Amino acid sequence: MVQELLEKNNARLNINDNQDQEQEITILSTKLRQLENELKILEQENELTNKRFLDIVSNLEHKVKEKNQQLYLSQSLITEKNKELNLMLNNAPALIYYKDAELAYIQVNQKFLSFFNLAPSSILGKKNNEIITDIDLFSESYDIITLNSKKPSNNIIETFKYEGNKYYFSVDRIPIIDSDNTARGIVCFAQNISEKISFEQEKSKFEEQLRQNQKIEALGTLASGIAHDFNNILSAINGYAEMAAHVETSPENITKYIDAILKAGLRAKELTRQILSFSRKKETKFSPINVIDIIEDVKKLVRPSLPSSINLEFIKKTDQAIIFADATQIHQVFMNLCTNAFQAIKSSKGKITIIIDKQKLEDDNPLQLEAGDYQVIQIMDDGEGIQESKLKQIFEPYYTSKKCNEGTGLGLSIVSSIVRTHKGEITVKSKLGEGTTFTTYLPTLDSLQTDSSEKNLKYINGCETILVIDDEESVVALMDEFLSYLGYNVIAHSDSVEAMNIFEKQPDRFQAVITDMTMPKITGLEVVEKVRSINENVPIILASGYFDTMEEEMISGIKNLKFIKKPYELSSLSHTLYDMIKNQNVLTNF
Amino acid sequence: MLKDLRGQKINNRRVNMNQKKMTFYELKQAIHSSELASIKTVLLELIRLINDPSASAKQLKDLVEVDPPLSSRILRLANSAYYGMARRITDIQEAIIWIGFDTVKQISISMKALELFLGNELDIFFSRDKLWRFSVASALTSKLIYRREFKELGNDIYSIALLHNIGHIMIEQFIPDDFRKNLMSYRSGVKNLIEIEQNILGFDHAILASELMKEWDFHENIYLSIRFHHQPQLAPAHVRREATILYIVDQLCTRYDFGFSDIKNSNKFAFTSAIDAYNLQEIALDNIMTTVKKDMRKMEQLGWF
Repeated sequence: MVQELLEKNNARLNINDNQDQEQEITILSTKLRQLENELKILEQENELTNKRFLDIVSNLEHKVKEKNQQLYLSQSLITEKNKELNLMLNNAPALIYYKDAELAYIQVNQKFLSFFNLAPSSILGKKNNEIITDIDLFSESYDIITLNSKKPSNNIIETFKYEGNKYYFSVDRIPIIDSDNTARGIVCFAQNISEKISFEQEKSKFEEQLRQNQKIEALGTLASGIAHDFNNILSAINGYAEMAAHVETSPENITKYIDAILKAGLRAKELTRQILSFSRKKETKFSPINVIDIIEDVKKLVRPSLPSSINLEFIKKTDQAIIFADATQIHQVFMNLCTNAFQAIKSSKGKITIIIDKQKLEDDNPLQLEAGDYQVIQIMDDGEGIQESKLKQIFEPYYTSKKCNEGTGLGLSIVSSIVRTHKGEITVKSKLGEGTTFTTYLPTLDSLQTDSSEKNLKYINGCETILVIDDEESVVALMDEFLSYLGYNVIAHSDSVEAMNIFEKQPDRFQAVITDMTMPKITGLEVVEKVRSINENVPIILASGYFDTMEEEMISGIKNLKFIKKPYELSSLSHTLYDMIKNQNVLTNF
Repeated sequence: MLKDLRGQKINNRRVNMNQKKMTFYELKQAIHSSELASIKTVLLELIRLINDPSASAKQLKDLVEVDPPLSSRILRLANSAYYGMARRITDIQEAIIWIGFDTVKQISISMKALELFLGNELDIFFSRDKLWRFSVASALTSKLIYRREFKELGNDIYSIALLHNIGHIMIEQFIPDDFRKNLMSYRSGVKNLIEIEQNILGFDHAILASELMKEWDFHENIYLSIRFHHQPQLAPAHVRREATILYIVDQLCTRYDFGFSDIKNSNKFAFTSAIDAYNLQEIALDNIMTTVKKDMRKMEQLGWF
């Protein structure tokens, strides 16, 4: 029974065991299946992630490639732009430099390097004082002014002397301004204008030469008339002299003869003066002159060469005919117009009439002159006249109606150019067979200017100590005498070196310096330079017979310096000296 | 009689409900203009990203970063001890690099959905906190079933399960009195919740949620499977599996104490026919629930709840 029960129980246990085992297996197989599935999903996800990762990497590679391409493109663009810029810089007709705010060179063009004979390495990154050159570089002080003002400075003239040549540069400086208004650097363009300047000097010399030639030509035309006049005078002198020498007569008569000789001599002297005043080669000098006096002179000079059958008349419709002009040039104008008039009258009979009158011109006048009072001088002849078609050309150079060897054809063009330099105008009217009229307009000088008060006092006295330097002993003596007469204490020297030694020893002793320009050893300009380096205010008067434009330009910037042209009038010298010392005293007393 | 009595009661409520028929529309309007609706944009976009295999990490980062509360929640999780980062993760991009795109995607959608469940405790039988826990457990469970039983990724079902209970939140928030009545009636243990809701409100939490999600432009698969998660046999064929799994998962999570209330009513027969329909064995489901329990403990440590 027990056995039976045990067996039964065992059998149940076995069944239970079997059931448990089966259950266990089911759970394990389920877990395994789920794990397998999960693994598959994870694999799938992993694949997806890998794919995404690959995508990212290849995308990155692509992007890197793209960026590299862009970088390469922009680099080559920069290289290309640089090439273009260098092409422009090196072919520009100027020396160009670019400096930073510390004034060190950042870039210069080829022309700059070759002019100063420099290699790029010896200039880039350096300042002016760190660079060794044969020629001084462009002024650093103007760079500083431009940087500080933040405004361009244009057309500054800078000069260089190198191996006997003088170079002139017109220099433009432009500051480079940042967006926050600080100056980052400076670009400078320097144009070599030496050729232009020497060309202009040549040109003005040439023009002067032309004027001179034309005057000689005019004198040639007049020669026979003048010779005739001289013969008359000589006849008178010789006649009376002979009579005085050989004819026995009373002493009163002899006195009469000598008087006549003297008169003839004076006439000859006047004639000579007139010829000289016309032919003299003189520097242009503007001063108040009376046109009537000039025309009277011209009339006297022309009259003798005209046949007596030609009537020359001068009608004055005004007494006041003061203009501000160069007397010699105005003289030349009317000489020329009168000889032209005479030459236009081909027959032996004729009439030349000169009329002077005043006229007030308003704005927008047909002559396009400034509004104001003008002297109007008409010169009329009753000659054959000029064809209307040719009227327009007659003021052009080299136009001539004359035959070969009769004239240069420059006369009227010079006349026109002179009148225009005097701010006037010349016109012509003509009718064939009736005659020609030339009308000249010259501006009347303001009456106030003509009687300036300083003209009333001839000399002004002074008591200061003056240093006088002139290599001409005679001038030194004259100045010593004259200035001492005025009360000045004069130290005068013909040796500029010695004079400079004296000044260097006692610079404060002198209240003014008067120096000649052209001197051996130390020239006038060098004297000015030296004096200024010691005393920057002492008045200096620079005297010269001739100033070229560059010299004028060079001294124009120096303060308390005036130049007077030789030969100067002693009265104007005394006025200039007085004014300069007075101004200087006013300034130093402040 | 009780049934009659209750039926009478229900009839009484029905009179009210007839008035509330109007209110269903008004209720929807109220929800449309509430905080709940404001969450939908980001949520929709996150769901789209999660289901789009070609979506990039940058898209996720851009989406999350414009939502500061969301990104701070994600970063807090990423920096928790679980991921054991040696360095502090300070932005979404770093989080994606260090803890993985897929993980950050899942965290993102969960943390966004969490916003729906934030609020005051209202009832001793119900807490939003519990409902949230229930939703996460449902999401995990359904995802595991898809992976381990159907060999699918299960990202889609994760989002659906996460959101399938928001109908409760809506009712609880906008008509709290009725919500409490529903729960009390449910506790008596005779009827299921859907029937009670139908009786008292004239609609149920599944209908309400799916109606609104439809109007919010959620995908049809989402709102239809939610609509039928209590009646999977009525679901259209193309969402029947999703609806059925939601039904099974609801039952499982309640059984394993992840439920949102202490009530454990279940229809044993319906459950069995549901799991049979998809050839799921109880043993397999129990095994999955073991994993879910482990994961839920881990998440609790991470501070998800």
